[in-house]
Amino acid sequence: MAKKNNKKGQLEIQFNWIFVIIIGAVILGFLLTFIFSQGDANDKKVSASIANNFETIITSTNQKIGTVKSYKVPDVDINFVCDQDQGLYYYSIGGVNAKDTKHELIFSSEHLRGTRIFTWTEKWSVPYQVATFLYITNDREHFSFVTSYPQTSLETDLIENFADNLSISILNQSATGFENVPSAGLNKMAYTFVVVDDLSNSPLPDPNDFIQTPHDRTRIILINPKSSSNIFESGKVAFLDFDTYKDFANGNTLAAEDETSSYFGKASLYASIFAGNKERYECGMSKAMSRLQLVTLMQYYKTISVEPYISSACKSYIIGSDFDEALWGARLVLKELNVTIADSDFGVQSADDIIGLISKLKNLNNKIVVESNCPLIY
Amino acid sequence: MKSKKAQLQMGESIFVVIIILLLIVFGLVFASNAEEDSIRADKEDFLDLDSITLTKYASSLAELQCSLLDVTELSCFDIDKLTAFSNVTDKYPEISAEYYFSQFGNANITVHEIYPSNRNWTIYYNGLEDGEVGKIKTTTVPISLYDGITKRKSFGILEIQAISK
Repeated sequence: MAKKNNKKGQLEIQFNWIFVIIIGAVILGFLLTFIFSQGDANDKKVSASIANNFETIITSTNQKIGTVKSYKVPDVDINFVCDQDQGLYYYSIGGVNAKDTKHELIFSSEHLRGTRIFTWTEKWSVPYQVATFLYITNDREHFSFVTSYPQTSLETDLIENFADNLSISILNQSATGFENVPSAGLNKMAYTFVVVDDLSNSPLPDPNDFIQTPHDRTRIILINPKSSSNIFESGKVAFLDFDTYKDFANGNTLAAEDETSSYFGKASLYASIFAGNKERYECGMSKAMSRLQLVTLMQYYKTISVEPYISSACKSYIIGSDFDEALWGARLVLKELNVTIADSDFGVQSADDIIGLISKLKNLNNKIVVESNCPLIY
Repeated sequence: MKSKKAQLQMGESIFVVIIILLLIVFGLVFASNAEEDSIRADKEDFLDLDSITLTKYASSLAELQCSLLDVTELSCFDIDKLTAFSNVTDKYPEISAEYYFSQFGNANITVHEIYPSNRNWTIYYNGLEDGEVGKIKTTTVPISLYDGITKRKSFGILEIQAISK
């Protein structure tokens, strides 16, 4: 009997322990799940908070044209996605999709990771102000300007107007070679070399003379301005890797053809340097062209709204003649400009057409400033 | 006797487990309430931030600002451009509607001429519909309005209502 009671007691004690272990495991599991989900939610919260601060940075920077700003950021991945083919436009921070950027004119590398980011803005005027371009880079990207011997005025303009305080080197060419050539020891994520092909028919520098950085992290932006006196007005820009540039510099002019795009205006030229590749540059510029179309339409309607109130002398500038292209007024130029922008694929030809019409508009506006008391077109 | 003691012990264990579970449930309810309060406070902060962003953006719209050649004048809107803006947004919603919605979102933006005359231009309207509940944060910015025909300036106000639905 005593043996039976002892067995029953053992069973009760065992059952108690099993019961406590099961319930303990359930509570522990529940708490662990809760803690991990909180941790995950907290990571997302931190990323969302960074994203929110980043949005404020972008918005406030957009208002201050020409200023370079530096911000300390947590060491998280910032990705800028601009893919025209798939219609994807956003940036993400720490894996969290932070903001749609379908209409934001941001030019940067696709992937940035570093503890300090730099923002710079330039206004894009063609010839009236259309938008503010925002350039974003960080402390792990390096820009090098390769100059001729002696340095040309085009190169000087390009360097002097570039943002201060970024990681930059100017590769002055002397009789013995290049100075300040960045070495791989700089340990940057991306190296951008900017070369100006200044129409002087002098050969392009050999890349082996100025590139010592890892080729997979090196890109060369080759600028071919249309004018020999103003690098910013318009021109072509090619986005090349080491081998393609070498091929091109050795005389294979077709090598860069697929990687060439066009630019007009200072902001557009600098956008190409920060974007670093053709797809990203053209994606950003296509957004800029939509904005240009919208602003051009408004300029066109402005010429309609002022028509009843202006003198006949003013009408020759603002409205002009439909029948003779040489006598076109601003309204017809703006109408044509709008059609050209709408049809534009941002190829070299459409850029030339747009530049031609912009030039006409500039002449008309300058005539109004000098010769008449009419309302300005812009 | 021993069986009764074991039953009592088991009852004790169950009671302890129930108390622990209750404490956890109370803790969770308290935490979720605190989180809800914090989300509500964040929402208000975001509306304030949105309002500032909108005000900054609206007051520096290139398509409305006064300009002389390429130089724009701060806090000045061109009356002819305001008229043209309304025309374009009315006639070309396929180009303008999505663009301005992405920039302004839920908001109302109006320009009021205060002196010498009284005129209004609605730049953007995407406010609360009848019966819809939401919070509105209104910001006003003093501006000048330029008439390109008479070459005169008047005094006005840019009114921005940021709306949280």
